[in-house]
Amino acid sequence: MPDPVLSDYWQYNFPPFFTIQPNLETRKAQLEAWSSLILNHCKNNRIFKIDLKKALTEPPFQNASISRGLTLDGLITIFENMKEKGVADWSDKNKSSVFIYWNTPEAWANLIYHWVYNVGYINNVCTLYEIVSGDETVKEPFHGLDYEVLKKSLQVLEKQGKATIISLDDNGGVKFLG
Amino acid sequence: MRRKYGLGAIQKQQNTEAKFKEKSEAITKEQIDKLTDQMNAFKSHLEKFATKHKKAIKKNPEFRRQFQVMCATVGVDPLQSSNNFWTRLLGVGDFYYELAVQVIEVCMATSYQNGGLIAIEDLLRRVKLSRCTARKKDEDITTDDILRSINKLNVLGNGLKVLKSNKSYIIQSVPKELSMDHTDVLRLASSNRGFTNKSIIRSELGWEENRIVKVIYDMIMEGLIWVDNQAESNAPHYWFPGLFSTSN
Repeated sequence: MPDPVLSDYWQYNFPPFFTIQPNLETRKAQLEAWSSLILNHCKNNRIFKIDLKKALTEPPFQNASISRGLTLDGLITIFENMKEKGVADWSDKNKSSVFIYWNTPEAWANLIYHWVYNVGYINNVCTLYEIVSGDETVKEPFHGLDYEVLKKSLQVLEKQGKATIISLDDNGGVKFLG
Repeated sequence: MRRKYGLGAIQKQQNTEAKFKEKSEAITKEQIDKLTDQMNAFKSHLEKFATKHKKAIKKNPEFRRQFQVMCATVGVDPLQSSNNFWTRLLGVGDFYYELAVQVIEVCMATSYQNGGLIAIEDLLRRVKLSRCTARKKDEDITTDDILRSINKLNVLGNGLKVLKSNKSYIIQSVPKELSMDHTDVLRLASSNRGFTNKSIIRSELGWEENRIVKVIYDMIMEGLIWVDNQAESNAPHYWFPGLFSTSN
């Protein structure tokens, strides 16, 4: 089945797209296209985090139909570039996986706080589970959000004085402040 | 026969010559008048024809081409000026100016990807796409129209260059000079799905290694080609993005 996102990018079938380009201007255009492709792909499939080892074996980083694929160095170059743009961040120092911010933690924080405000949970305690997996948030865009991205988003709210994090393990909770 | 000598004879001769000249001028004038009349009649018929088939000229590419050829034969250029009779009547001039603007837009929008080289089929496809979204679904345009509109643009200087390649054309929108070597490699790639490599260049053009390395390096630096290090042959392939999309 053709991927609706990938078919938007002619570059995806262009063999040199999978080789990081030596000319800086060309590389800029290439990285821009990769960044846009990855963000759209992740948004469309609700992917929050990419494991680099896994990425070396599957689309969109591999295109079996033209026998081309990004190398590990290629992947790192692309994600570093996305990090500079503020749309990705390494999950650890070893760069074994990367968060993809098709919505930034700030944007998620706003969406979550907006929901809390609307349903009247200000000054209440919610568990992390309730926020991303509870029945009440099924229709919210942040339903199913990756826990680690959720934690980053809640930390944003905490900095803004809009929340107090009680504990951040997976059964943790958070109190929202007015 | 008495031979004509003397002043009288010379005068007589001159008179005769003058009369001949007069007569021949009269005949020529008559012919010119007739021709002018004919041309005027033809022109007015052509105008009537054009007015009558205005829609067809705008919509049907083959009809438009034939009309252009007909106009060219009698020395009428409906595109020449924006405020002559023809353009007012037909808006044909506008048609090509508008097209020219769209051609430039596509060239500019894609130049950061393709380094300013685009195959005419790809250009046409993209121009059509942009016209489609801009409401003009009923008009069909061809590569002939694209070439004409580019030709019109050359009045303004050498903005767009047309490079002939095999049976097709490549439009160059960057003001850099392509050397003969560059153009040769470009032609080679355009008949090979948009890419080439050292061994193809060597066997097809018979160049020395240094010459090949230099032309490839130049074209990478100009942003004209992309390097593919994962080619089956192990040696890198060099792709022209502007020639790629048409190959699929």
